[in-house]
Amino acid sequence: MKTVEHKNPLKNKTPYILQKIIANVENPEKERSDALFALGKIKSQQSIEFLINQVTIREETLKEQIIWTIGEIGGRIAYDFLKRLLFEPQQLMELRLAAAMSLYSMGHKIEVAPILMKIQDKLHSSRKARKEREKKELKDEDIIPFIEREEKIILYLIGSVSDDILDRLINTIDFLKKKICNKILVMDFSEVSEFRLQQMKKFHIFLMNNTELISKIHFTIKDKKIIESIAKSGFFHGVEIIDKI
Amino acid sequence: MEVESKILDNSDITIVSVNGRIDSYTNSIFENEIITNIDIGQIKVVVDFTEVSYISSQGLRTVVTALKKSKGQGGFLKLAGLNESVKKIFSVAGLDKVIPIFDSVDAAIV
Repeated sequence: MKTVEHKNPLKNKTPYILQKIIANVENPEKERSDALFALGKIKSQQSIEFLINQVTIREETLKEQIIWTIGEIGGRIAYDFLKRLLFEPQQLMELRLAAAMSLYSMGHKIEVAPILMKIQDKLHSSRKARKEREKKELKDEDIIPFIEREEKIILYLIGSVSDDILDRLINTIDFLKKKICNKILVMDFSEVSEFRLQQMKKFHIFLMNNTELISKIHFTIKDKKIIESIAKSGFFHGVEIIDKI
Repeated sequence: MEVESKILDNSDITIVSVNGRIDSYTNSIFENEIITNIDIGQIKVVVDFTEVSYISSQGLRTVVTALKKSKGQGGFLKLAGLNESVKKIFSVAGLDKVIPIFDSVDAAIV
């Protein structure tokens, strides 16, 4: 997509002048908003502290854009501030969402992926699709925690793989089926202490009924005993086993 | 923030021009204008973002609602003239893949 060069009368102003425009609430909001855009564009590191202070001013109406601008400028201080804001439960949801989008835009995708997924899901899903999904909505306790990245979805398993965990794993894969497409589904067994033959068999049967998934699944296993058990079982043929994500 | 709508001459396309930022303070003005247009049958809509400096998640939600409403009635919703920052926001939300985005209003109405 081609980028359009916009005429911004403030584009040649110094950061100090732009800060003065933003700080003066008597100025037209459009001018203050344009000044924020200009600060973000020139990535004015010296303006970060100023912008962070603006977010704490109660009567400031441009907070969401200021948060976005902090992310546009970037850097360590910006990152620390946005992350703190993201996890402050007493903050307004709009501000936390702005922080999530800003962090994502800075490249910290994994940290905000679960929150952004919820936002994107809300934005994308039609009323009909939502109703259908609500009928068979899974609760948090029914699924295994996962993180979605551009090229892979990672499911984290911990402790002993019991029947209950296996059911949740299968629920999660069923839930993720449509999302997988060209992605790799990585099951992280790094923190798994036990994966018994009985559960392996159950999961193997599930995969046999969903053979299209086999080539898309990777196991990450560190424990040599589990690797040996899988090798002995003869299950999961075609599933790639890697030692780290 | 200011929002203004006009129907393009010799056409059934409505251009909604927004001036300023769209966030939780201003979204209701934007929402009211764009949804009213669609509700009264002006279902072919181009939103001119040339003068928009920022859009929040609430604004994105309004755009998606308008998109669904217009498409549901056989119309369309296109966005035009986004600056790089606003374009990035649509991209972060994954909406650049579902909403047609054009460099200018002229390109959108062709």
